[in-house]
Amino acid sequence: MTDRSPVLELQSVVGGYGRMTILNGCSFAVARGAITTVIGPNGAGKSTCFKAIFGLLAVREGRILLEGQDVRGASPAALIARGVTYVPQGRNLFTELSVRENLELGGVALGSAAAMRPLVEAALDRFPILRQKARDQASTLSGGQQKLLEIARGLIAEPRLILIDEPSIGLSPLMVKEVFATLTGLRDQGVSILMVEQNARSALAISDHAIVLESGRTRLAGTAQEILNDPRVARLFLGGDAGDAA
Amino acid sequence: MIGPDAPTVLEARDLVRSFGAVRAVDGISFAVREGEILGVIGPNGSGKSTLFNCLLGQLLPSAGQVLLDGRDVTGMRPAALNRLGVSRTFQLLQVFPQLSVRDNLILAGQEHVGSRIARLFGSPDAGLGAAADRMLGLFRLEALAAEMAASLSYGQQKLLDAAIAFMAGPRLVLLDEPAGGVNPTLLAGFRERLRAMNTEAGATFVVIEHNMEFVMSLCTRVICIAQGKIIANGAPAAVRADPAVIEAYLGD
Amino acid sequence: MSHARHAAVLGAALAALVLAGLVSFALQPYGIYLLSLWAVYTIAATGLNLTLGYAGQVSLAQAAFVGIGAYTTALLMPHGVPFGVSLMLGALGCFVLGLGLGFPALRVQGHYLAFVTLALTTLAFLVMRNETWLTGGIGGISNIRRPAGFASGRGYEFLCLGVLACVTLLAWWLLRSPWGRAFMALRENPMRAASLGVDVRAYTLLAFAIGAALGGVAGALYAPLVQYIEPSPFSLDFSLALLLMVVVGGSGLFLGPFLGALVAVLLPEWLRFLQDYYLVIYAALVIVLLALCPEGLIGLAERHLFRRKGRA
Repeated sequence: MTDRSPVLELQSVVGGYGRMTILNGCSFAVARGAITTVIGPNGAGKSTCFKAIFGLLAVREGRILLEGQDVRGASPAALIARGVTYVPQGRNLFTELSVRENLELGGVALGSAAAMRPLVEAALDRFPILRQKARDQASTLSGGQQKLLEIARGLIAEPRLILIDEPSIGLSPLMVKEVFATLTGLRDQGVSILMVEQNARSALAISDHAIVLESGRTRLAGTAQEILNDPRVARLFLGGDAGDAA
Repeated sequence: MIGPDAPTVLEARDLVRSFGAVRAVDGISFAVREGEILGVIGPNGSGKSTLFNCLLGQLLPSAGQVLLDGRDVTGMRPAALNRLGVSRTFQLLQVFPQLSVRDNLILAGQEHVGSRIARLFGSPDAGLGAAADRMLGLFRLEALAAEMAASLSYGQQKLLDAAIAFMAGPRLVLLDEPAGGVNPTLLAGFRERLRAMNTEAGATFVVIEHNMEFVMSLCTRVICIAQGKIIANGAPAAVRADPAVIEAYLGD
Repeated sequence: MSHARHAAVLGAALAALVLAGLVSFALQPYGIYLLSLWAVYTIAATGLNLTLGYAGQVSLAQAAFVGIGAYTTALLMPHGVPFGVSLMLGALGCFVLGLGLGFPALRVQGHYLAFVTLALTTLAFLVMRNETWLTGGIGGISNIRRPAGFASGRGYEFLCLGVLACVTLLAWWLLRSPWGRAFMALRENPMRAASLGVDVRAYTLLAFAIGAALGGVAGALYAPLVQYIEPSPFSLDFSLALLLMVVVGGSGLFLGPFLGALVAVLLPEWLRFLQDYYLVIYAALVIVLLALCPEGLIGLAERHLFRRKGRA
């Protein structure tokens, strides 16, 4: 019997920056061992939602349940210890440090260097291109390689849930395919993945579930196929003709 | 269609830019004619952004020339090039985070209005209030006009970045990955606006982009750069079908 | 910022000046002296706020400009140059020097720039102390006369407040003009600004020069206020004190220097009973303030006064 309970569940989460409210009662569940993609217009609160889950944003109301336990207000370090990893949008490497050093920083929470070494080796095995460049400065990697390094760094802490925000930005089609293949590989090993992606059609093609967020609320949720085939979604969020309120 | 007799707006001649032993741009030559929308594709790290930086005076090329309307502008400072009607967006977000959205736009136009001294004694918005409103409308940012740019989401800042580039009514705009992180529906609207500015205002664009759907539906011609060199140059469909481009960039 | 906010800020600044004028009628001469000193500090800090707070150019040279303004007035007035003219000449001299100081800023930023500007403060201090033939050295210059009609404590205070009012209007006009926006663009993103036609070089130099000129104006008022000047008030310590006024009040906020200067003038008086511990307490208060509210006192006030709900 596989565990059918959600790995993560948001219940009526309200939050924002300072005096600005972005999430207006956001609720959804993230299935275990699957890829769930969040789509929606710009400014809908997708990235904000990730920050709220990862303890980077004060949540004013609602609950965030990880494996059934409320983790609202938990620090990022505590969440990493509980198996959550966050790969933010953009480039977030220590560019002056080597590839290996960047990977080692992904294991700081593990405490001991001895515990970390096999994990770093495993990451280098998983991504041969990173092993080739293990001694090079991270800044010398191409954009796609940098994104892979970020994902690899996130994997050092052996997460059960990965939050990944717009992994395809700035990547060539070839690299997008590679990054997405990495994500499906992780999913097949039982890791749960929650992804935000504006490159929605490609992302939904590799996803199991999808959530449509709008104005800080969950507008629709279903299987990736259902969402992809929903004519309203196609019109409003996947590049149809209608406008979109920013 | 762009006639073969349309004048050349921008031309690169044997441009080279080295960083140490690496030739990031390795002898690139091409011309952009008035009214063209030229797509630039290529793998990450192939030298596309370095090429833009050389074209726009952000970086001094190691060798070669950049010509604007046939005039040598190699190494001209970005501010001076901008005042000649050349504008750009950046790959990574480049807005003014602690200015309001509206002030971001007015800033983008004010240096093109009158003399510096006249601006000091003129109106605070340099007479650009209506132009800023029009831009806000075009990019659907009206509701955010008074917000600090920093408080916008990534996609909204991306739109602001583009709006800034168009504020002064440039005739040549270089866009560095404008589609990344923008919602597909909004992107479709953005594409239509670019097309309208191209046909109505006669503006010329050079667009670096990885979103092939966007490139194929917008550009009149595409060049593909790999390892600092142009490996394909021609009609969008022909470049997409080029085996070298598939091998280096698209995958199958 | 909206027009209403701009107008409200100017209104608050001018109201503070009127209040300072009225309060002086209830004060002893020492209190009147402190209010005059506040006006002088506010002018100098407003200049630094322009350079640092708005244009983002770190400067530790403001004390030097105040010193140059003070010595210019003290040296010229005995030769029959009217106060107003020597104030203008001091400000002009500082403007030119400030332009010169701006050139290094075109090449270096941040802490490197701090060092370059620190060097100017040290250099100016050495000239004031060692060039005895000109400046009187450590003996300084005494018996500096106040301009006719403003000789009394309260009369001179009104002169200081009047000049501060002019500076306030000038700075307000400047900062809400396109120039102000260009200065902020230097602070926020100079590379992007250049790509939009902003002449980064010209505006950087202007930000230094105008800030320096206001330092010169403050110095010109300072000399006749204390009537005796010597080099020590214009050392690096005073540059740091001015920096603190800008930061404590609220860097890049128009009213910041007004409040920052008030703290700098009043706090030593209130904490006088602590004697040698005064600086320790002052430092601790600054650390607490900046930890709680990096935008300074004005930022703290704004947070409570202009609390808005949700998105517009």
